This record gives sequence, structure tokens and C-alpha cells, in this order.
Amino acid sequence: MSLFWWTAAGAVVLILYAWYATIVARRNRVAEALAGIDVQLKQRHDLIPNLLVVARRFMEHEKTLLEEITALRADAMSRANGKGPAQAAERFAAEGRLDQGMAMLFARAENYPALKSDGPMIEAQRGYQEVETNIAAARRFYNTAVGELRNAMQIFPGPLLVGLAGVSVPPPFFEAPQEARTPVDAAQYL
Amino acid sequence: MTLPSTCKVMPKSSARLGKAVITGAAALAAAAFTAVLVVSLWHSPDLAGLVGGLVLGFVTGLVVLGVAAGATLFWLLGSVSSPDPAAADALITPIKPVLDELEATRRDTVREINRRARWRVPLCAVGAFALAGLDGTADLSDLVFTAAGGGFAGYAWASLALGNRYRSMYKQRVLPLLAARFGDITYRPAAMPDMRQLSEERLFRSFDRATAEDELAGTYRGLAVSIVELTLHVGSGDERRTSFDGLLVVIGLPWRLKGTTAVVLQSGLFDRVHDWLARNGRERVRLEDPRFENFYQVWGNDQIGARALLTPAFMERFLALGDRPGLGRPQALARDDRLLLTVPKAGGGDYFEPPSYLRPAASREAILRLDRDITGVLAMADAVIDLDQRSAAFGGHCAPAGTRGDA
Repeated sequence: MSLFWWTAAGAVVLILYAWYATIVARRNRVAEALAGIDVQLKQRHDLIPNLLVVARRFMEHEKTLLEEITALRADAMSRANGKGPAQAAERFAAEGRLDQGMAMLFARAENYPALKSDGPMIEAQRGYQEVETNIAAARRFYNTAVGELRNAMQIFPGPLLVGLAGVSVPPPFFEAPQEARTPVDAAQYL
Repeated sequence: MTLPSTCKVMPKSSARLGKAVITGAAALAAAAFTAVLVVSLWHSPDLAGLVGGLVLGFVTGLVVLGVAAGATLFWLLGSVSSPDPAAADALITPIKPVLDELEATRRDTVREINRRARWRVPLCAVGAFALAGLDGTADLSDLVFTAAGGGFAGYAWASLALGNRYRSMYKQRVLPLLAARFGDITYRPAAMPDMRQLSEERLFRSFDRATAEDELAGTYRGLAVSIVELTLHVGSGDERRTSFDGLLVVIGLPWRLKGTTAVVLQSGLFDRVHDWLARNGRERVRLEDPRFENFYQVWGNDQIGARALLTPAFMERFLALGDRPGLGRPQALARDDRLLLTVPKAGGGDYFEPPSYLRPAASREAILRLDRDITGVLAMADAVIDLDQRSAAFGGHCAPAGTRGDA
């Protein structure tokens, strides 16, 4: 084989390796982003009991909602260890349901002026908002990382290397639950 | 915050009068053209007279029209920018004692400058004349011009230090009083910001000399605020150029940021490679807004912290800030509980310039201009506070009622 062919073969091997390394780096980036979401979700899971304790003192007529939120939190926490793409999608769905429950709690809290002006409740709500901002940021980081990984997987020679890099199935994007996309019926909360 | 009404709007009657004057000038120009042509033909009734008359008449007409148009424009602009006496007096009355003291100082300054100029101007003029005469090759016009130059230098020698002292005193006495109307805000000569940090974070890529002149600082909308007028220069001598002329706005946030985030303008390929090589623990933060990514690159050491600050709403407002007339594209650095923005002035010009010692201390135009500068700079603080929803909610959305002073 001539020098030209040796050089060409070497270049192809280098390109394939670089592409493989990119896919692995991006796969790890997705895992890092997912871990970032986990940290924030854990903080939210820790905050919710405090919020519910404060809310329970004022919202005696909302026992069903409070119990529902407790169950949604338990469900979301039970899925916290799922790492595969399918489990990740289920986790996002469970967290989405918890989001909805919390949004309903804050909406109903508007009907309880004593609760709204309660110091511990204000503090808990501020902490919750802080965590929510960080969760949104972590989800955006995750979606960016997933987008970059998918690009590397789907652009040639990515499809040849995904099996080797251990990411045959692309991880899901975080998407807002269907309920969050429908217009809000304000009357429902009043 | 709305900008104060410091200028009169051009009344319709002025505009109509302006049109009438221009029309009259055009008629006068036409008359001049005709007169020159007639005189030329009367002098030499041939083709040369006709051509000469046409050319000379055209030039004369243009000169007449130009002078009339210039005079009209000057008069109209003068009427538009003349100060609003009521607004100016509302500002002047509460600080009149200070302005009276400054007026006395100004008169002393003028007297002292005149006293010094009486011997320094002739001394420098004669000195320059003598130096030029020593050469032996200079003709009379050279000698006259050199002597005039020497005279100007002598006046500068007499006036510069005293003029600057008066200028500095005016700023330090009047600006804090004007700024205090906006709340717990004061004016002070600026302390130099930490330029090394700004340079490391690539907000300023290259500069050889930094000048921080004026600063408004205090508490605004419940948040700690500092706004510094900053100028950076690169090179020296003939090669010297201004690399940044604008404001450095620092806001104390009511919450702590995670990590360090720098929002810097997109740079060329060489700078990007350099940035990547010198990233020093920082990473590119890729954001979803393609327009934002088109203008800016974001570097940070906490991907989530950077995105917690750079929400879609923040990015949109940040881009809108750069679209404001008179401003260039801002850059930002966020660390701990501080958000820092560099905002270049697109049109140049200095803020907080006091009136010259040749004008009265209580000049309405000067006071209104200083007030307009403070308002404009605080409007920038408003825009920065409003970038972040949490800061905006903490500080409220409007300047506190009654702090405007023009109510």
C-alpha cells in the first residue's frame, strides 16, 4: 500500500476516534446534567414537607389536595434512581405531575389570606421559587446536552459508533407535561 | 422611569416660520442669481458674459441660500434646546445657596485667571515669536501665527488648573444634591474598578490605560447600585484610540448567584481559540436563544447557575438593552451577589460635565443637562435591575414617588 493510502486510513481512524470521543464526552455531559436535575429535585422534595406542614395549619378544607401532593411526591421520589432513557422519561412525567399539584396548591393558597401572610409560608414559598428557578435552569442544561449528544449520534459517522459508545437509544428531552400546555382555567382555582 | 422634559418641543409656528424663511432665502438667491447675470451681460454682451454670469450667479445664489439656511437652522435649534425655565427653577431653588457660593467662587476664579493671563499670555506670545524669529527662515505670517499659538498656550497655562479646580468643586457640591432627589443616591469621584478581573473575564480584551471619572452610588429601588463612567484607551501617541467609552453598572442582587458567569460579545476566530485555550476552569454555556447566541458567548463555571441567571426573559431584555438608541451592546459579569454590566456609549459625549467658569453657576441649561444625565444613568440602573425578574420584584418596578423632584 502506498503512503497515500496509509495516510488516508490513518486519517479515517483518527476521525472515527475523535467522533467516538465526542459521543462519549456528550453522553457523560448528559449524565452530568441529569445529576444536576437530581440535586435540584432532591432539594424540592425536601422542601415540600415543610410547605405542606405550614399549609395544613390553614387549609383544612384542602385535605384531598394535600394528600394528593404527598402521594405525587412519594411517586416522584420512588423513580429518582431510574437512569435509563425510558426511566428518565417516566421520572420527568412524575415530576411534571408534582409540578401541577404544587401549582394548584399555590393557586388555592390565594384563598387563604392568613396563609399568604404567614411568615414561615412566605419563607418556604421563596425557597421553593428559588429551587424552581434552578430546576428550570438544570432542565435547560439537560436539554442542551441531549441536543448536542443527539447531533453527534445522528450525523454520520455517528450511527456507526453509537453502539460502541454505549448510547444506542438517545435520551429523551425534558418536555413540559401536556397539562401545562393547555390554557389555564382560572375559574377552576377560585 | 420617564425622562424629564428638558427641552421644548419645536412649536408648529416655529416650523412654519422656518419654512417661510427658507422660501424667502430661495427667492433672495434667485434674485441674486438674476442680478449677477444681468450685470454680467450688461458688462460684456456676448457668450463669455453669459457663461460667466451663469456661473457667478449660481455661486452667489448658493452662498445666499446657504447662509440663510444655516442662520435659520441655528435659530430653530436654539429655540428647541432652550431650557424649560419652570423645570430648571424647580431644580435650582432648593440648591440656590450652594449655587450662590459657587458663583462667588467662579467670579474669584475668573478674576484670578484674568490676572494670570495678563502676564502669561504676552509672555508666551513674545516667547514663541522670539523662538520662531531665531530660525531666520520664518516669514511675517509664520511669526504672527506662532505668536498667536503662544498666546493661546499662555491662556491655557493661566486657566487650566483653576478651571479644573472650579469644575471639580462644582461637581462635588452640586451633583450630590441633584442625585439625592432620586433617593439614597450620591455622586462621588469614581474609584477605579477591578480592571484585572474584568480583563480576565474578557469583558475588556485589551487596554493600556483606564480612566474612571464620575460615579453615582447608593441604594436605588432597594438595591445597592454603583454606576461609573469609564474610558479605556489602547496604544499611545498617534496610535492611541479609545477601546471603550461608557458606563460600568454594578447592582447588588437580593440573592446569591452560583458560580461566575460572563456574557461577552462574540469575537473573531483568533479570540475564540485564545478564549478556549485560556478558559481556566470556565466552560462555554450554550443557550437556546439563537439571536442571543449570535451576539454573545457565555462563559461560566456553573452551567446551572449561569442558566438560572440567563433565563429566556433575561436574554430578551439584555438584547433589548443593546437595541436602545445611543448605546452599544452591553456585556455582563455575574458573581456572588453582584451583577456588573458594561454599557458602551454609541454616540460618545461625557456625562456630568459642569458649566464652564465663563458661564453662571446657576445656568439653567447646565443644571437641566446634569439632571438629565443623572436621570439617564439611573434609567440604565432601572434597565439592569429589570433584567432579572427576582431583582425587579425585590426592588419594585418604578422609582419611588416623590424622588423625581419635578412633581
